Amino acid sequence: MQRIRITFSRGEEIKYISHLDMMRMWERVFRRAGLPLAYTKGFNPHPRLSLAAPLPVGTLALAEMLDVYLESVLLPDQLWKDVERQLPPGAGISRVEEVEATGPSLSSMVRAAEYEVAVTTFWSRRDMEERVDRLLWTSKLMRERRVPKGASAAKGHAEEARRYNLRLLIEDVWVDRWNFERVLGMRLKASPGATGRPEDVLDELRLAPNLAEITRTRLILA
Amino acid sequence: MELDRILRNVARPARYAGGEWNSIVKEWKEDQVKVALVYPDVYEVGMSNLGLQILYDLLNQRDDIVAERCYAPWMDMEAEMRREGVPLFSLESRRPLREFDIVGFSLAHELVYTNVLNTLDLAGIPVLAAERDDSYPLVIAGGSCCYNPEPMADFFDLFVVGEGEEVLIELVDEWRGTRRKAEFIRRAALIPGVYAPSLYRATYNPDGTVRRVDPIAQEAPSGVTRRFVGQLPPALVRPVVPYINVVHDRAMIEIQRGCTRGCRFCQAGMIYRPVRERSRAEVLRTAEELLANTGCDELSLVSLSTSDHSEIEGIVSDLASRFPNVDISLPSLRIDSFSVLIAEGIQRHKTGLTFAPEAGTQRLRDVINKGVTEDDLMRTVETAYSRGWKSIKLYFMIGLPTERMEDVEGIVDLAQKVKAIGRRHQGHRAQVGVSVTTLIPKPGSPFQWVAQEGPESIRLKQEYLSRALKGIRFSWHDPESSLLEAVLSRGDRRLGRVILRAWQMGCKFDAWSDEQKPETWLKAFDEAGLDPAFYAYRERATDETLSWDHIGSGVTKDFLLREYKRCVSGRLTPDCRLDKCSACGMRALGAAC
Repeated sequence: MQRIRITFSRGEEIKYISHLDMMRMWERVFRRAGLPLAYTKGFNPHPRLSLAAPLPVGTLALAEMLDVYLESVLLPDQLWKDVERQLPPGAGISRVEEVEATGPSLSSMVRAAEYEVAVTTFWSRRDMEERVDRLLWTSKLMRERRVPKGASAAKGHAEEARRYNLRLLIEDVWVDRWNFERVLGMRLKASPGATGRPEDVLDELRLAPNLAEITRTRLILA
Repeated sequence: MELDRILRNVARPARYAGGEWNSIVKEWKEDQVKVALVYPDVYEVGMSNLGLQILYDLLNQRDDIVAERCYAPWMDMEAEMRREGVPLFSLESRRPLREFDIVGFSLAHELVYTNVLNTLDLAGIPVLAAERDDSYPLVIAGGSCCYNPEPMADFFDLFVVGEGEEVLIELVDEWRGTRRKAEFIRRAALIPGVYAPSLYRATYNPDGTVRRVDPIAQEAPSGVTRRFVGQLPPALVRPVVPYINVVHDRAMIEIQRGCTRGCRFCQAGMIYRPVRERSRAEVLRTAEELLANTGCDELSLVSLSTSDHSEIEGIVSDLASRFPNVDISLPSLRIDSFSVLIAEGIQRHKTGLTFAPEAGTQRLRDVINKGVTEDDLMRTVETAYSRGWKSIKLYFMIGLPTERMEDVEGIVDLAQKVKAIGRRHQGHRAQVGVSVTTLIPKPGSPFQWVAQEGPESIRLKQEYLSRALKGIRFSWHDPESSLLEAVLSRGDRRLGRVILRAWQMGCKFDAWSDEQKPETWLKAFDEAGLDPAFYAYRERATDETLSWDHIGSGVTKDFLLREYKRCVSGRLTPDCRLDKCSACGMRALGAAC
């Protein structure tokens, strides 16, 4: 079995699709490209395919990653060519490489993610930097998040509040470009169960999350 | 960017974003006719409609036509759009619907009527046809509701009766030559299959029944007969592939159109005649292209009666051997062992089979011309359970003409016999499900004269069934929405006022059980001085002028009446593909059957 890692971008055209939609999109892209997909065993086999980290609805991305498993061996360059023809507008591939088939799962390797966040504000660069510094000097940023509760999670009804310290999920925040465009950079923890969200950081900085445009620029693997 | 801001605040924003695989985005040019195809329900429902996808593909094959899609925004999106003053737009170019030449609605069932008005209003287009001058698009409709277009006559400029593949192109070409609405409507009325409601006047008898629906313009024919294509056009092989999970999220091949079994409750069995098949070779070729173009791993063979295709065995064995990793589904299986064997050839997991005996006793099955015996059902079920299926679902109807309590008891009896067979082969793993719907008599079917059964006795029957069907999963339909659908199905022009008022008072998404507002509808009927019972619960005299008598499917009223009378005496009419011609009228229209 061959394991192929694809690095890809997600643009405006497909930024509103969910994680599950994204999985289905790639499955269909690969089937259209005629790849010899390897299937899971069991009652309801599906292609062995995993995305490194779920991308929230509305977020753009420059370098997401996925692993796909194949029954027979293909040259990465040939696969790249075949797959590229089947990509919908808004999806692009920047790297295709073969990785060790038996290594750890891709999602378990993700440690952190970097973001560029274009914001709308009248603050000067200095004011913004001051605010960011103050945020980084704090050791506790207690917040609450509504999370699906227990076994009923699938139904999407019952929720419970979980308290967490956002500060522990922030590795770094910096003021990036600050001209006609005002862009913050962030590096946030991203491992299952401990994922920082740029919107929460914006909220702590008193910036309106729903006026921001968020791009995940990089995933950092362990 | 403005849209972007809105989309952040709504659930499932991908419903409104477009950009799906195989969607066609053309640059707009002066000399093209721009057509917006609207399914007046949410994206997930609308995208599952094969007919609209076929027309989208067909229109876009022409360089001089632009066809784009639009669906009804869900309530959260509507609120945002109204607040921000964003008019309803198409998914492809994101242009407001007002900028199109033609806005065409698909009317697949009556409970979308208020959504039609809401959609027009969201687009900034007056809902009443009479209030739309030449600066507004032409607003037209197609779909099975057009066999009684009268309740929606106030809102549409034209209805297309029957299959749209040819007539829609003719309409667009005619529009190119005229572009002035009043003149165009008169000319369009000359195209066979096109109904221009403003060129007709309805008059009523003192008792409230329709007296006549008469043409009031020279161009308008006294009656409009449905259009149909002699041969199925090449199948759709590049459907738009949605990103989000829609109701029917799979590739679809229409392997056959029409059905001649002649079930008397069934509108589809009348209005899609004659039977036209796609050949085994074409189905395989189509499946190959379709799967290569979509990347889907599920394929549905669409038809009204799949097992009746003359080459179904070959089709199924072709597909199963060619696409081992594709799930193939066969809706509408006939009740016989042959169908079970067909299903066995393709179902990778024997998850479940569905059959529709429709009625609980032989007498009542003969009344509806179902042509299935208890023996047939038991043999079929025996084959299924013995070959490894564990779950069987049975569809029935209640509220059928001449139905007595013993017929309802017959449903329980059949279900229990099926369960017993299941037990014998599959032990405690055997499951039986029973789904019971309420008959809604439809125009253009032999039951068009029949009274719908009232909610009290329907409820009693449903309660009886849910008590009596022990150990069997039972599901049923709410009598309230059945009433609304029944009224709108066989209503007349006066219902336009009711629909308008109901929408003004907040009715929309009437097909969604959480959104139904039966009291509001009743208020709207009250204000218009109309009684829903008059439309739903009244048995019509056979010499009464029906509000849809001037619209024909090709199956004659004589034939429908003959079938209605045979129903009362419980006489069967055999399938004309297996027996002699039943003279339904299609031959006179030139159908090659």
